[in-house]
Amino acid sequence: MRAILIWLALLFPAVYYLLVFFAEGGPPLGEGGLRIDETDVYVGRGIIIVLALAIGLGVINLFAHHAKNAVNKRKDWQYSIIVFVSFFVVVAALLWQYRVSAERARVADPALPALQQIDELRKSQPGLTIREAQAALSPEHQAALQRMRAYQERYHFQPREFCVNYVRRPLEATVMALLGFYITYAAYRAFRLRSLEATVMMLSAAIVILGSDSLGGWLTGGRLTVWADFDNRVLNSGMQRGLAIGIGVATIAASLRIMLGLEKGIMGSGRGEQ
Amino acid sequence: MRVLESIQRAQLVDRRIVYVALAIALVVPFLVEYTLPIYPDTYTRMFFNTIEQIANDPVEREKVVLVLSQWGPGSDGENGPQLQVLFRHLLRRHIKFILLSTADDPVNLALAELRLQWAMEDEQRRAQRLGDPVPEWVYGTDYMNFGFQPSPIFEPLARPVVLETRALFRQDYVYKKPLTDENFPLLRSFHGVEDIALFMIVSHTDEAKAVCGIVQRQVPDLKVAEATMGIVANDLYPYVKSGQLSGLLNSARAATEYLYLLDPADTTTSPNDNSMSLGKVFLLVMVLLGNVALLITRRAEAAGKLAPARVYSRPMAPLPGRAWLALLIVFATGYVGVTVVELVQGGATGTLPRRRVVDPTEREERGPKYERVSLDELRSEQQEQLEAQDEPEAAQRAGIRASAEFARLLEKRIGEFLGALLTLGILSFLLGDNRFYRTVEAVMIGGIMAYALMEKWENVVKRDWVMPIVGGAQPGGNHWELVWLVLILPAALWYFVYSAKYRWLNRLVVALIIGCAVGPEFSKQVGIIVPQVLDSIRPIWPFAADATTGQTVFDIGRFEHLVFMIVMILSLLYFIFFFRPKTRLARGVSRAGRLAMMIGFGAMFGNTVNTRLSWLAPRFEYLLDDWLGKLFGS
Amino acid sequence: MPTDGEPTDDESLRGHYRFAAHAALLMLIVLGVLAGIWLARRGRALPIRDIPGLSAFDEAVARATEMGRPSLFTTGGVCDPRRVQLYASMPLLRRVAALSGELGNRLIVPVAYAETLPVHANATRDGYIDAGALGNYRSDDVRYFPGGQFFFAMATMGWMLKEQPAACFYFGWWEADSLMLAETGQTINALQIAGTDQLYQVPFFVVACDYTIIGEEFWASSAKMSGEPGLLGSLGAQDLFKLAILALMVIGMLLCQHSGFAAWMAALKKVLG
Repeated sequence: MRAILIWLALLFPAVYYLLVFFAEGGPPLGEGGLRIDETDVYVGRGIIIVLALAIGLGVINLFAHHAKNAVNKRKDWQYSIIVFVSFFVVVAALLWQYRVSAERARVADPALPALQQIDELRKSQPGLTIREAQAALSPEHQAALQRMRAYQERYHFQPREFCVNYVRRPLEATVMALLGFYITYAAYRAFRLRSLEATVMMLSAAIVILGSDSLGGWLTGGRLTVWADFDNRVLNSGMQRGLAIGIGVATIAASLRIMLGLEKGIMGSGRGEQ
Repeated sequence: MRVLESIQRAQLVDRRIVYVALAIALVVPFLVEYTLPIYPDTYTRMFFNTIEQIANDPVEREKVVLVLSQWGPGSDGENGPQLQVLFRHLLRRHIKFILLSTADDPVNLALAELRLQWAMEDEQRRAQRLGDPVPEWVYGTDYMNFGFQPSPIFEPLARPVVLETRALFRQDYVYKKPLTDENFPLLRSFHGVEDIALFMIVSHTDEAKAVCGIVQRQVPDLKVAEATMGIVANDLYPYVKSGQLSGLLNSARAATEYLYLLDPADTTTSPNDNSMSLGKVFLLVMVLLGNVALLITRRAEAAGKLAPARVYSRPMAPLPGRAWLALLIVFATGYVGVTVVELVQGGATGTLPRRRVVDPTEREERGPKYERVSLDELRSEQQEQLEAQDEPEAAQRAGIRASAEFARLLEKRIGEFLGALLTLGILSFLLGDNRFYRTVEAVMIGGIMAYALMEKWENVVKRDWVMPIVGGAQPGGNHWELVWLVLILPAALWYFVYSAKYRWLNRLVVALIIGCAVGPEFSKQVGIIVPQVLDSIRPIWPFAADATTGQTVFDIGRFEHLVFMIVMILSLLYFIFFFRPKTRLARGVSRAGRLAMMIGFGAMFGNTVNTRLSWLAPRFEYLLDDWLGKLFGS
Repeated sequence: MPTDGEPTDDESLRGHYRFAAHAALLMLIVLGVLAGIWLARRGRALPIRDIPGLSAFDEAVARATEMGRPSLFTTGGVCDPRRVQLYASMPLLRRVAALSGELGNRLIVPVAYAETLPVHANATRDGYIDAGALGNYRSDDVRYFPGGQFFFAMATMGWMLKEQPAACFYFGWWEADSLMLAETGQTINALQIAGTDQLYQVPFFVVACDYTIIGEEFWASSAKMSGEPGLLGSLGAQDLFKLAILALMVIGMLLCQHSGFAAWMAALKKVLG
């Protein structure tokens, strides 16, 4: 019974998407004129929300692990303390940010109609300057605009921007940058004339690396660029298309197997659970 | 003999030595300036020509270009310059466009907006330099920002984003106004997919595949183009070939090439470009040296002069404690030293560094990049500016504005020091596991968890679920919004994973999500396969009659297609699972298939090198320029 | 569909033809696969070759057990819930978990998305249940690392250096983190097996891993590993279908030498897109 319920929970949305595919351009569902293939925007939104609400699982998993580390003083427990401190510092920073954003919205929102009106005046009277358009606004709009400008002229620390610009961006960009080192060493280690396949792979890579580079183009008067272009557009693309067709068929087949509940290893049956 | 043994060992030098040597190679172009010529590739030209065609066609230019920006801080090195140069083209040709995103993180859209702002400034500076009227663009008439609909899943949104754009986004991002023709004149030209001149994607992944597969099946005339990282571009080449994509920008170098097409006279390679270039040369030199060592060693082993040794991999031996201590001392001294210099400079002169304000008619790169300014200097500048614009209360406001700018410069400088510390912490991982790295990692894990939690709450749960339900429950509200309450059930099922008794209920929501993942695959894959197969069916005999002279000539297009198809067929045959090569011919076909794949994998590897080094070079630029460069005003 | 201006009759007809062609292809594949499954269950299946790498699973986990080090299985930092590749990797995780349970070896599973924590946890648990070793399952060994691809990679690399897994399995949908984890596995001398249909990560797995399962082989892995005739039958059907597409393309290309056919083909492409 459980296995059937689990399978139905999988089958229902899969069938829905197949219906969306088959119902494209078909008749509306009812008097409102909504077609089944137009409902996917709402279904998509629902999926996003259900997935977002799973974030608690991540928090619980992280906290449980680091709390056990810290409480039982396991190896490197000090880092778990840092994890918690960092978590709460960022939470505090983001709550502060919400206050700052709310304050900015309180000042900016009344000024938005004024800005819209300035835009409209300038569109209807080409050549009108911003100052002239401002002067034509009502006193309330002018006052709102002035308050907004006075707010913008002052400095307001934005914790989220600071975290994003000076913590998250350097961290993420540097982690990605490690790949530059890894790929260099991987190429040095692996590109050896040990077999025909390895040699062919190495030569193809070398042509593309140099050919797509100003230095390579300069050294060979642009010829290597043409070869690299050929390698990418013809040889690489040919291989990609061959594999893409095969993968396309394989993905449909695998999706069908999953949908029909034939892939037992994916869903399990809840066996062994109460 | 010793020499031969050294050469044998040199086949696999310790990776840390290679890393340091690579770092030196990447740093050189930032210290020694030079330029190289630029050779735009075919698909970059195609992208450029697509936008030019739109600008030159009186019907198409009345339509709108949708710009889907899906990249984040990590791919800023590639997608950032791509988006900026594309914006410049659209702005220069006054083509109407709408920025939107379905990325999961609002920071992505913030980065895109920043690039738009820089693009506008670049175009205005260019106009001033050329003595042309300085262009202005009006939000709501010339361009708009629809904001973002966050989704970790793009495929289910592919159709709504293109076919139901206004219904999906509902309000603009700047004014938070409903997307009506009355509110925004631009929308009078955009009601549906027939009003889209081009669907342009700038992303670190391959959303174009979903758009081509799912949407183009319904709207085959929809023009789609993508600017993406080198590694992702690999996957999209077949789509350009089949005509599904109208252009493809492959990695950061394509941004430079595109800019060259836009401004041939003004564009040269930057130190960043040169750094990537030298990095690639270094890589190839290392490969060459490794192979030379291999060949020498192999000959010596064959001649019996050397004992064979399999040198394919080497685990990284941890650095001795003394080495770590030495590195720590060097790092601490260096970092603290730089901090002290900055504090002394700033304290003694009461100044902070900023980007030098250049004359608009001057090219950016001449003269020192940075200058130091004091609060008084800023106050004078602001006062001059306000008085020139005839603004009221210039003196008072100048003080306020100067203080604000000084505070922002201070924030930026503190941030740069913090960023440098974190950058060096991550880079220390290359030398091996260490406490500095672990501390940075711990900070990151906790911080990112908090960020993800709060942002999910604000931008998805509260915005798209709670607030609509609350609104729907109010008198006069749309009561249909209360239907969203049913989502409590599947959401609650997630947490039954912690129940010993009802754990199996969790599998229901997992199954639901699997169904949502599996369902769209059918239409997506069919939409990918059909055009690929149809495009393959073309004449392949490379000799054809010329249309004008009637003589038989060699047709390069057909020849390329013949080669393309041979490679494609061999690759496809390799994956026939019931095919077991028993005859010589069959084994030959199988081997040919493997070789065909190796050529492709080699090209992919090469494209990826472009991407990876384009992420690495800007890190050195950040350390040398933003952090250290400001110390010395260079 | 466009809301302003009705499509012309010609456009509507093209749309219908296009839809019909796509639907027909989809039905053909589906029916073909179903037929393959049905025939295979009746003993008429095509023999499927071995997939190198799958047979190394046992060797890898046994090696790790001998060395007293754990095994690691991960689907990477971008295998989010939309990816069918995630679910196709779960039978393999279950298999590794079963082997670990049988041999009394520890299995660590880093996870990048909170929504996929239950998916990984269930598969791991099911594997231990298959081996009759549920008592060896540790929920703490299925760990979530937030922040997306690169922060996940950082944290996993740190975990790998700390735990020193001797067998590493990388399956699913991969992007840049493939090289990061595979190179880290190299530095700790782990036996590494990878499988993905993400073609542009294959070169990195090829250069850094001991075994790499490429493209379609990845999709065939769960069927091959289960050995169930029905699933193997679907592989045979896929192969026949691909051969049919290949034959169609070759015949079409040869016929295209005739200008009349080439013109007809060009018109068909316009309609069917």
